[in-house]
Amino acid sequence: MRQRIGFIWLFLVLILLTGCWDQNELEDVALVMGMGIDKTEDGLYDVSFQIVNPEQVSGGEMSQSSKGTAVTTYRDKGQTLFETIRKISKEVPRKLSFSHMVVLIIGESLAEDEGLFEVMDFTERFYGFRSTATVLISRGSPAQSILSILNPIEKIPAMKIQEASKKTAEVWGETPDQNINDLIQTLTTKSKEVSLSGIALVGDMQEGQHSSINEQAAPSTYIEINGLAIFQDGKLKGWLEDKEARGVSWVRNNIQKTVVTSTCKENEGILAVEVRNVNTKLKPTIKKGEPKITVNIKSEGSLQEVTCPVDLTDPNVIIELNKKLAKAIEEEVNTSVKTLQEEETDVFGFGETLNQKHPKEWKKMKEDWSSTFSEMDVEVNVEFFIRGTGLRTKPLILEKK
Amino acid sequence: MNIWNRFKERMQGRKRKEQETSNEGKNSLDKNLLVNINHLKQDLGDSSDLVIRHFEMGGEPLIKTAAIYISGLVNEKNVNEFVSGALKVEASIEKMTQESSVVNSFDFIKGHAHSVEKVTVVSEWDKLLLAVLSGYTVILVDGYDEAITGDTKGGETRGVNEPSTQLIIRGPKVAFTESIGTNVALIRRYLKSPDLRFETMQVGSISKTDVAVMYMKGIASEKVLREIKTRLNKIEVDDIIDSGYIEQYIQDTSLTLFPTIYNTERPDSVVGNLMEGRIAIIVDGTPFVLVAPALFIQFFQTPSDYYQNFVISSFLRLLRVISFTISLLTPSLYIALTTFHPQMIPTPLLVSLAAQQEGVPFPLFMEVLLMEFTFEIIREAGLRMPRAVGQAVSIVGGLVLGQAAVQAGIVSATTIIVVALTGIASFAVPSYNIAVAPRILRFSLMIIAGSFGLYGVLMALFILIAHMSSLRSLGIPYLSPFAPFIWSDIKDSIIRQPLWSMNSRPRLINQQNVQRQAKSQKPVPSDPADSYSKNEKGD
Repeated sequence: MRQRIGFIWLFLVLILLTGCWDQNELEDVALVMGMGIDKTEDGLYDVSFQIVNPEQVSGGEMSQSSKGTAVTTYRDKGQTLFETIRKISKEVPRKLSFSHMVVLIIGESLAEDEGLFEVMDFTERFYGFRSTATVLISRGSPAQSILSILNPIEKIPAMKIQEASKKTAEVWGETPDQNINDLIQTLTTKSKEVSLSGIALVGDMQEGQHSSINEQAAPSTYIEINGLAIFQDGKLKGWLEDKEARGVSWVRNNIQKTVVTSTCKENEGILAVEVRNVNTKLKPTIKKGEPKITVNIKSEGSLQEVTCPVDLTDPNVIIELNKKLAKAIEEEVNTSVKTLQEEETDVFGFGETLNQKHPKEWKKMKEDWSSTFSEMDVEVNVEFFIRGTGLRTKPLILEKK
Repeated sequence: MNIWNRFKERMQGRKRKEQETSNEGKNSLDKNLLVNINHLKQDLGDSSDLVIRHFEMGGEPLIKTAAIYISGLVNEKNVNEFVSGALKVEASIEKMTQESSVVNSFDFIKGHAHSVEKVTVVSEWDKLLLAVLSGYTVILVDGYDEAITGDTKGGETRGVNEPSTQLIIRGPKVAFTESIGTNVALIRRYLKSPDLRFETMQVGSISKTDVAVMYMKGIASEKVLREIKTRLNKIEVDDIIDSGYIEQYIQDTSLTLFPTIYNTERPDSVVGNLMEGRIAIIVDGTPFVLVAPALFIQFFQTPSDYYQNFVISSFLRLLRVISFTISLLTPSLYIALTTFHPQMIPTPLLVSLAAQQEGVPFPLFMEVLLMEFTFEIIREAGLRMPRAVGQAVSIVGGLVLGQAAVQAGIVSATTIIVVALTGIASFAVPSYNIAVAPRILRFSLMIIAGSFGLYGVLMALFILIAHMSSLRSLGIPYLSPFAPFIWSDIKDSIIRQPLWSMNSRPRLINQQNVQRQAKSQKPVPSDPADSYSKNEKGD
């Protein structure tokens, strides 16, 4: 009997001493889908929250009750982020829940002036956040304006942003899809600099905030993933565009699928290849104290579009095309390496590879890595293999004659 | 406590003693026929269904005899045969006169009374009473303190019908009846073996109900058999009306929602269990036969699992266990996830749930509790409704409470879906008495989920499984073959292997005569290529 009472006590302790739970009725919770952080001129954080209006989003009979927007964006200012999150309760009648937040947008000016460290400390420390939210830098306009734009395809704009970021990383490869976790990992190492995808507002903000935008077949205002923001010591340094941005992805082995184009012969047309299976290996060497990185890219893909008269059944032609495509990729990588060396930011993670292979030498170089990086020798070798020619072998243009 | 028990014992003892003394007053028959008859009439309260037919036979002197029976309990035809066989008046008169000097008339009558089964001689008064009340016909002869009884049981009984509770698609379509004789015969027809034994005893000091223990000698475990008999012998009650009485008196513990003794109205199910070494208890007056020991997983099995393809059976068994879990857990998980752990629900689903919850006046927990309770009411109401009223119940239940409640915005549609799913899932469990367990447990789980979240649900499940592992059915662990884990018995548990691969009987239940079939019985065509070519040659 005594033993039994002991067990009951143990059990009660188990039940009563567990922390971190909370009962909330669903109708008392406001689901924050996206959060934007800007900084005002007088040094306060300007935080905006995109909150779902569930009744407007879900399908079924119940939602036809009233016409309104699917999300509402609330803003407030404060000295710290946490303060702002609690202060927003003055405007929002419900408890904010961050567990379903999918995007975190950081204002361009905040990233430029203050850097990411201050903001990211909070995002990691606060229990409410989920570290899988995509992090983006708003380009050209404050983060809060990005979050307030409605979208006709996805009812919840924040989800649209995340989807776009994921899809473009998957099929186009210019901009990586990075979440809070990835960002903090990169921020905390010295051997690699942060690079984040940018997001920009196209069109008029006032118009994009009105639900009538959802009734346009060709929306005049929308948001798009735009450019790659590069950082030095956590501060925004500049932007890479198109192919320069993709060069970074090639080196970092981040490309799942992308499209490479090249001319066939001298200005006789163009061909497009869908690249799959990219395998990039970085080989660091140190000669006489001078670091050197060899970037070996092996990739393959299949022809998707050919507008030049070439006989694709001939193996020699294919070998020729392989070389041309490899050259095109090599050029892309070289330009982005050159640009980044000028900017002195090692977003490739060359320092990281050096650290792994030559830790002793890395310790010496660590201190002024940026300048070493900007002067180091980088060799790029690209091999490309065409694995298929699509559903056709002979280009249609050959039939014209 | 102790004083109360002692008091009770003393009271019972006194009662029993009183009964004994009243019986002891005259427990032997009188030689005088009329005295006996009067005594009988007096004992049965001059009941109007008591039939006493007087005969006179023989020459000098006339032998007075009487046949006694109760009209509704006997088969009149059998009675006539018995009586006329024994007391065949015309033929006996001559014979009697010739032989009376040699044999006495009682033995003479007894010698002629073989037109029915089971002819015995009784000399005790209570045995005679029992015989009359069980549907025997008793012949009393004047001048002898003994009586001849013949089994003329009969009367109105229900015929053998299709099972009404355990329906299957493929398999025998026969169910037990209320008559123990029919039931035993139904089982015997499947097993033409001298090893099929059954031992009858009478339970119930007033009802004297026939209870038969049936088993396969050499397969059933002696230990379990002894245990069952001891437990049956311990029962000292006035009456046994259904096998449910027996079940409650012999089960290992009554402090559980889970049934530890299986019951079935299907002879094929009983036969299968007998052949696995289990023991059947047949109670007169009910079509439900008890089978013990019973395992948890047994309640998810149906006889037709063995009659069809093993893949289908395995899938169906899995499905039943899953529906059991669904009916146990869905409402509590729904409460726990939405109110405590919304981060575990995918965003679009959560948004849709939140939209429905918008404007519903009750907290989710109350809402689910209310609807589950309502569903239980509808189910219970529908169960006993006369067929004519039944439709009204389903209309009111389905339309008014379901659809209208959602449209009025009192209950969210998801709650209705959850409640409906729970209800339907509980119907998918083949055994009614194990399907009841989650019905009750569900409510406590819901309350725990509403106050402690998923953590509480897991804790409750933990306790539930601990409780289930502590259960025994006649000493056999209830959760076997999973706990304790017995690899060889997994073949016929949550899955069913092909029949040809199930060579041994369940190990825990049966430990002698383990082999059930010859090895390597996998069906293989005897060289099809060969026979084909032979046919060709023949052409």
